[in-house]
Order: sequence, then structure tokens, then C-alpha cells
Amino acid sequence: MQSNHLPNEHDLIEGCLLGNPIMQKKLYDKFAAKMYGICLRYAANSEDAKDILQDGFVKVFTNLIKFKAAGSFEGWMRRIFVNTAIEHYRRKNQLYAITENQEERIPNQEVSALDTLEADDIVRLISELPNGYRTVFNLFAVEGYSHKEIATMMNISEGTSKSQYARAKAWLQEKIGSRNQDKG
Amino acid sequence: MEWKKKLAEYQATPPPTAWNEIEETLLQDGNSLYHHAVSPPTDSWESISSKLSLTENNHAPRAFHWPRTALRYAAMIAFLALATTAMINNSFRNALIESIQGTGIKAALSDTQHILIKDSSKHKIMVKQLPR
Repeated sequence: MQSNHLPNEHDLIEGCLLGNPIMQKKLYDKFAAKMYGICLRYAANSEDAKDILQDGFVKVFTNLIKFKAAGSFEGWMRRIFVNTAIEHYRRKNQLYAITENQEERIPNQEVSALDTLEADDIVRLISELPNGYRTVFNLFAVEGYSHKEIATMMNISEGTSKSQYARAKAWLQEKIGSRNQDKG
Repeated sequence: MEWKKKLAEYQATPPPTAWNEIEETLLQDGNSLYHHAVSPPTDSWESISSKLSLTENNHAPRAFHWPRTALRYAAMIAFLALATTAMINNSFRNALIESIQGTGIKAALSDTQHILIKDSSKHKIMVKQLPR
């Protein structure tokens, strides 16, 4: 008789390593929502997010043998999905459409964004950012990577990472501002 | 004065408060965006599992990893042994052939009872016939 209890993370990983499809499905069920949340943040639209999710999970299952149990499994998966998203746009040559520029001054707008925006709204706004801005913004503001780390991951200079982040901030502020004006 | 100029610049365009709040919240560990989860499309798992089965068909399962590695090493060793043998000079090879085809083997294959004795001083195989 098959038990209904959810196996722990270690058992799930072991099962997936042995190629057990039931364990693979259970691992997917456990992490799919969180990983899709990441994909949506990095993708320009839901179709791209779906592609990144599929490619990311295939990479997780095929590279599971490389996972060192010393760290967090979710953290390891998260890095795979972030890298898959970066690769996705690099393949399409859409990541570096923005030229290197000095950091621009961010326009001053008094908006109480936190009071009015839910996580879903912010994600929707982020998805509207141009690809390069969006990736840098996610890596820096949400994942907490430094500009130096982002520069290495994306194969760009630290200055480009900073300038793209500044532009992303300016762009988002403008959007939040106009959104609040529309509501008001 | 440089600092006065900088202060004037800062006062002219102070950092936007709303943005700073967003940034602070985003950078905090456990922020809502970091843990933001959305249910994936229902057909995603089917696509993943079919992609996985395609990938698995192209790769040997984990259970076959170590025999495959062992076979690879065995093949390498066999190749090295053959290469080394081919490089050995003719006289040694002839001696080797002689020792294989020589009296020791012949004696062992004949129906006469023999025992093989190794003479350590001469490094040659001696054959001694035993009485029946």
C-alpha cells in the first residue's frame, strides 16, 4: 500500500537520484510554485516564464548528483533557475540591448508604493521592465547579489550593472507614480 | 567648498523616500517578493517529465555510472599494456614467446606427470620428470 505522507527533502532527493518518477513529481509539487514565482520575476511574459520553469526543472533533475548536501537545497535550486533565466535571454541576445551609461539621477517622486502595491503588482511591473534592467534589478534588489557578482554572472562590467539597476529603479518609480496618479 | 556643493546637490534632489522604503523591504531577508510563489500552469509537469524521459534515454542511469568508469579504466590499462608490449625490443619478445611455447608449457600439456620448479638463481623454468 502506498503511503500518502510527504517524504522529507533527503528522501525526495535520493528518490530522484534513482530516477523514481513519483519522487520527481513530489519534488516538483513541493517547489514548483516558488520556482515559478522566480521565473515570472525574470521573464518578460508568462510564456517565457513557463519555458524557464521547464528548462530549470530538467536541469535540477539532471544535475542533482552535483548537489552538495552541505547547503540549502532550495538555495541551490534557486540559483539554477536564476541562471536558466539569464541563459534564456542570453540565447535570444536580448540581455544586452542597453548601452553602458553613467548612473542616471533618479527622479524624485513622492509615492507610497508599499501601501498600494501587492507582491503580484510589483512582479507585474517588474516583468514590464526591459530584459537587461529586469535581470539586474532582480539579482540585486530581490536576490541580494552584489554588483560585482552580477557582473560576473552576466558577463558585464560592474558599472553596467550599477547603471542598469539605477535605470530600472527610475523606470519602476515612474510607473508606480503614474499608477498612483491614475488611482487618485 | 566641495562639501557645500555636494550638500546643495543633495538638497536639490534628495533620494526618493518611497523608493528607499521599497528597496529596504526588498533587501530584507524574508521579503515578500523573494518568497513570492505562484502556481505554475497545469501542463508544466507533463512537459517536464517528457523532456526528462528524452534526456534519460540519452544518458545511462546512475546505477551504470561506476561499471562504465571501471570499463573505461580497464580499456585504458589494456591499451597501455599493448602499447608497452609493442615497444619492447625483439629479443625480449622472442624470449617471452620462447617461454610460452617452450618446454615448460609442452611438458605441462603432455600426459607425463611433471612438476615445475623455478630456479631462482637462473630465473629459468626447469622441468623434472616424476616416476610414474
